[in-house]
This record gives sequence, C-alpha cells and structure tokens, in this order.
Amino acid sequence: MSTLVPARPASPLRSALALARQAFAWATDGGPLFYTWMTVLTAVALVGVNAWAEQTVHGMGVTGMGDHVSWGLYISNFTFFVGVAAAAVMMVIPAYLYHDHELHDAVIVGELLAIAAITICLLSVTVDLGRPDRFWHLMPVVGRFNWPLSMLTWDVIVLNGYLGLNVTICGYLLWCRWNGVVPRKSFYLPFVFLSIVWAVSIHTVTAFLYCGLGGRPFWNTALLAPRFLASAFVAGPAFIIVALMVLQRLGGYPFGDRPIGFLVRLVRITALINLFMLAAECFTALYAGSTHAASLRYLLFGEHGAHALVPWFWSAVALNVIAAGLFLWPGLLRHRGLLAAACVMTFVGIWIEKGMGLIIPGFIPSTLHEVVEFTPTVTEWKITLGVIAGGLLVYTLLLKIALPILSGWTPGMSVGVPELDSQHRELFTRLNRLVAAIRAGRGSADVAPVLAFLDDYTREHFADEERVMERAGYPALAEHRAQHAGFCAELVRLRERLAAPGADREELAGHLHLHLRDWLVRHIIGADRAYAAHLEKKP
Amino acid sequence: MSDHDASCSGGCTRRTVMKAAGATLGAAAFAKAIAPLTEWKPAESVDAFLQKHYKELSEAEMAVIITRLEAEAKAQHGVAVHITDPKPEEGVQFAYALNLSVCIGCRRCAEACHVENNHDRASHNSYIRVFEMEQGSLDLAKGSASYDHPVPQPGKYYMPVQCHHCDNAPCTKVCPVEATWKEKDGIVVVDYNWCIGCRYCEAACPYHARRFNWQKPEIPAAEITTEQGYLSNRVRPQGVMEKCTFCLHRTRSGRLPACLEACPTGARVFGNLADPASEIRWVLENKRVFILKEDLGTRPRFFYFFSK
Repeated sequence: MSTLVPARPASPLRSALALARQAFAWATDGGPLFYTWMTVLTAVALVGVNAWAEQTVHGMGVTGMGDHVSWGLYISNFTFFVGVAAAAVMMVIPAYLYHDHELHDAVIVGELLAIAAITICLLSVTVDLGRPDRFWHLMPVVGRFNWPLSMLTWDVIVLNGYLGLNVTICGYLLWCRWNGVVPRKSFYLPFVFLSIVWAVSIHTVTAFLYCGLGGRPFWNTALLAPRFLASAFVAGPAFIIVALMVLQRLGGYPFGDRPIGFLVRLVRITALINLFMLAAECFTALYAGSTHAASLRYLLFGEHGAHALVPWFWSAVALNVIAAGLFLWPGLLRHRGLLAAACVMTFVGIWIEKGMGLIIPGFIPSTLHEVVEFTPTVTEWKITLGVIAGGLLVYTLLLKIALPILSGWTPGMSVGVPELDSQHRELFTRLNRLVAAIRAGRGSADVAPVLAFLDDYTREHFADEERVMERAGYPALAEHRAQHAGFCAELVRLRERLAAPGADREELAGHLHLHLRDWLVRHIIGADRAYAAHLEKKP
Repeated sequence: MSDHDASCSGGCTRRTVMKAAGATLGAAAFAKAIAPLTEWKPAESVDAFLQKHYKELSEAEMAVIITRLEAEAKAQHGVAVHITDPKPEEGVQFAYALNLSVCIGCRRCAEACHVENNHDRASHNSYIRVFEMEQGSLDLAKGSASYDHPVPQPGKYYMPVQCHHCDNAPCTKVCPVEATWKEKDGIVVVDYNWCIGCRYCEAACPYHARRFNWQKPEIPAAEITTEQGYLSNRVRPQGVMEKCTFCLHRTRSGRLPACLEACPTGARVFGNLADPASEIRWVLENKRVFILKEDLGTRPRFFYFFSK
C-alpha cells in the first residue's frame, strides 16, 4: 500500500496542530444564528455553574431534596441522558455492521450525541455529590473502588468506557480523514463491536442501580432494564431526527431523507413497546392491590392528599401516546414540522416518565411509608439546565468540527501542488452544492446548471492534472486517465438519470453524496498521492 | 483561493476582534460565576483533603488527625472536645431489642439521640423515628411519625425505628467508595472523612436509618456533647452521610446507648449476643420477637418484642 504514503509525510504533531487551528476556526465561525445559539447556551451554562458554586458552599440544603426524597432532579436527568447516549447504537449497528450507506454520514451525528449525552450524565452525577472535592475516592487504585459489589462502580466503568469508546472511534475516523489516510478496519471495527454491547450495558447497569434495591419496591422489578432500553430507543432517535433536520436546514449538510426515514421506522416500534411495558408494569402492580404499589398509586392518582407528580405523569402519558400515534401515521415523513413536533413531544414525555416519573416516586412513600413530596428548587433547575446547556455546547462544537472534516477537502489530501489542491477543494464544494440542489427538489432545469458547473470544472481539473503528470513523465498515467474517465462517465450517467421522468432524486442525491464523494476521497488519497510522490522524486 | 483570502482580510480582523471580545467576556463571566467557590474559605485543610481511608490509617496518623479535628472544633465552636477512636472488642456482638408492649411513644430516645450525637439543632435531626401505629396492624402505612399530642393515645401503640445494623446490610453493599462498613462487633459505621455524599446508601436502606448533612450542622457551643467518637458522634462535616452507631463511643467502653438510658419505661434492651448470660439473649430466646421487613433478607441486629 505504498501508494497511500503521503507525498510529504507530515509529522503527527504538525498535523495535530494544524487540525487544532482549523478546528478552532470552524468551531468559532458561523452566522448570527450560530452566535446567538452559543451565547444563549453559554449564558445558561454559566448560570448553572454559579448555582452549583452556591450549592457547594451552602450545602445541598439549597435543593428540594431531603432525607425522604434523597435523589431528585439531578439523578432523574442523569438517568434520562444515559438512555440518549445509548441510543447511538441504533445507528451504529446498521451503519457499520450492515454497511448501510444511507446512514454513512448520519451515524456520526449519533455518535457525537453519545459523547455529549455522557458529558451531561457525568456532570449530573457530579453536581449531585455532597462532596465533589472527594471525587478521587471514586477512582480505582488511588481511591477505594467498591467493585464489583457496588452497582455505582459498574456505572463509573461503563459510562467512562462508553465515552472513551465513542471518542476513540470518532476521533480515529476523523483523524484518518484529516490526514488523508484510509482507516484500518482491523483497528476500529473491534471498538465498534465493543461499543454496541457497551451501549446496552450502560443502560442496563443504570437500571440495575435502582432495581437492585430490595427496599424500594417501585424500582425492584426485572422490567426496569428492558423499559429503560425501550424508552432510550425512543428518546435518542427522536433527538437525532431533530438534529439531522436542523443540520440539514441550517448547516446545509445533505444527510437526506433516508437516515430520518430509518429512525422514524425505528421509533414507530420502540414507542409502542415502551408504552406496552408501562401498561404491563401498571397492571402488575395495581391489580394485585398490595401496599407495594403505593408509589405507583401516588404517581398515577396521588396518595394521602399528596399529588404533586400526578400532572407530570399524565402529561408524559399524553405526550407519548400522541407522539406514538403520529409516528404510526405513514404521512408523517412528508410533514417535517409535525415530525419535529412528534419528536419533541416524545423526548419531553420520556424525560418526565424516566426522570420525575421514575426516580422521585421511588422515594414516595418513604421506606417507612411516610409521604413527603418533592419540588425542585430554582437552584436545582438552574443547575440542571446549566448541565444540559453544557452538553449542547459540547455537541455543537463537536458537530462544527466533525462535519466539515467529513464532507470536504482536508490538508491531509494535499498532493503538493497548490493549484491542484485548490482545484480538489473546489471539486468537493461543487459536489456538495449539487447534492444540495438535487435534494432541494427543484426542477431539473435548476439542477442542470449546477451539474454542468461540476462537470465542466471536473474536466478542466482532470486535464490540468493529466498535463502535470505528462510533463513529469508519470509511468502510471494511462491507469490514472482511466480512473478520470470513469468518473466523467459516472457524471454523464447521472445527468441521464436526472433527466429521465420519475427520477428518484433522493436516491440520486444519496448516490452522488456517498459514492462519488467517497470515490473522490479514495482517488485523491490513493492515485493522486501516487503521482504526487512521483513529482516529489522528480522536481 | 485568492478571492477567499481577499474576502477574509477585512472580515477576519473584525471577526477576530469580535471573537477575542467574546472570549474575554466569557472568561470574565465564568470568573464571576464561580466566585462563590473561589471566595469560600472552607474549614477543610489540605491534610483533610488528602486524608486516607479509615482502614488505611496507622495509629500515629489517627492521632494526628484527631488532634487536627479537636483544634478545628475549638476554632469553629470554641469548645474543647475529646475525640477517641474506640475499636471493636473480641467476643462482642452488639444487638438491640425493643419492647413494643411498653413503649409509650414519648420520643425521649429520639431527643437523647439528638443531643448525644451532636445533631443539627434547627432540623431537629435524630437517628430515631417513632411511629404511632394502629392497634391491630403492623402496617407502617397506617402509622404516623409526625403525631403531636399527649401520649400514649388509646388504640395506638408506638414503634421507634432506627438503624438495624443489618448483617446483610444493603447500605454498605452499594457504597461505591467503601465509606461505610460493618465493624467486627456488628456496628455499621461511616467514615465521615471519606464519604463522597452520593446518597446511594440512603436510597438502599429499607429502614430510613441514614441521614445526610444537607448543610453544616449548627449547634450552640454550650450544647455540644464533648466526649466524641471518631466514627460516631463528632460533629459531622457538610455533605456526608451519617447514621446511628449504637453510640459506639459509649457502648465500646461498657456504657449503654443514650437512647436506652433515656427510656422511661425500660422498653429498650441492649447487649452482647455472644454472651449467653446477657439480657438480650434472654429476650431473643424467651419472647415473641419479630423483625421489621424480614422478607428483605437484611438480617438485622435490631429486634422488636412483646411483653407477653
């Protein structure tokens, strides 16, 4: 594979510095909407930081928690976002295992969400600690890690492990693309397989954290872990659908309908399974009528004149039922506004069901059957919203850096001839513009000029490149010419298919987006690098 | 390429200035946000921060820590306290039994606990909760811990609940940092200087026996119990768990728990299970004894019994 050696092998350090510089530029550049979004998130996060600082100084008494309800909003939020993080696996399986090209680009949107969601989880647990200064006691070796007995230590392992896995996989693939190197499957695929099992484990372990407690009958059910997973595979994909729509609309990234379609088909089923499990849980507890169902009765109807959670619970049920109904409707995909509304509804519904509706009632009534209610204080809301804003900041920045690397030219693809490099860069720009034009669904009259724009430029560039190779007496010129001709033929075929009546635009765009762009990447870092190496030897 | 550069030369500088201004503003706002923390002068020293787990401390190290804690108590409360670290003795297995037939629900045990264990005054904390129960039922759901009337009331009986010092304790199992454990003599303790305050033990306990220090406990200097145990009644730091320790600073040196001494009806029996001649053994062998939530398999060291 000597052809893959870069023309001028850049030192990893130089390349990393260049990436850091470029990443900083990408992460801090944007339109007014981007700056507004980042300012709002930063402001909310800072309000949260301030509230947390106050809480650390004055003690957890500033929250609504007490010795009866000793976990509140923070742990509720934690539990929910573990599910969001786990949901990335639903895209990883088809994308990596079954080489589903539809999800090729969208999968990174899911994996980066996993990183952001785990960040939220870790922050949520940290702000819940009475002694955050003693966090090091929780570290293996330096502290005293009560493993394997305490489920919390398992959670420390699986959450940090999942974070590490996703950072490794995303980081490696992006690093390869940046350096113009073909990723080694033998290196990253084992991590991908591991991350699939691991995703299930993070939510299972988090469920075991609760269902392993014999003294809390509300949680002490084997259905908890399956319910956690089912609801995770509703809320996570719902978030990713909205993220894809926003990125497509505002960022101009041409993910297309297919990943969204795939996720909608998924949620259609998981939303029903989740509701079914909730119903099964309610029946089992309520039909027998034992005192063990006291928490559930409190949640559903209120007990002893206390009913703070009743409106929360029924709002969650209403949101989830309406959203499940909308997802069942075949026309939902055509109505983007409604789809977004359904996603938001079920996301909020599950947040309530799994947070306020699952963690809080575990404490009401208490283990000695006292009914003490819980209402989060302003401080708790500030900290919780601050933590979520922090996660969204991380997510936005990761996307701002990852997506340009994936969809355009990177310095790692340099062939050492500045004119040719800039032409390559332009090719990516025009290719992406064409994909966007086709996806925008305008008539072929509108697409034709954009296609011609790409077509002309490609021919011009190929001619330039071939001239350079000719002058240098490049021996493999004939093969290289053949590859160029193949690409041009591909463009001709594309023009014909676009002109044909009833052309499936979505499919064409997808083909163009994934196959032609991938071809271009492979061609540049393979064949083009080979002639670059030749040029280097013969100045 | 060239027009890209040209478009940048004007816009970039303006943009750079904007970014720099934004970053400065953000940094200033961040400094302001964490100001409560940076301005905070916590009582904890560097030594306290780096202090090892209780079980890893040598006798000499413990002596240094106790001196430090006594100095801190003097500085914070103006009280000279005496902290000891009594160890469990061989051949001693503590257990507690409570006679439901004679308890009148006066809550003097809870009050004694409040004083002896240096609980926060404002929250009126205690390790004991006394339930007023319906005659004819053992269902806690029908009981109430918040009764406020003369006792005993007709048709009621009273059931104090405190830490059961379980042999199969759910609380010690779940602690992620081994900050709580069962000592050789059966007492479940907390290392207040190791607990991270995650409150998992509080969620796990089926007897509502654990308490969290939601803020720094406040006690008037004159009311502080000065004879203190390192693992028991010394004034706890903010943000850590605490619980009943069978008053180990008393019981490990032959005295009785404060709650027992305060009981006016003699409902409480405390002693050494390993001693066949002990009163607790006699009660467990001769009385009708029941264990709260026995089905959970926690195997408590706390028993309830009836006179007849």
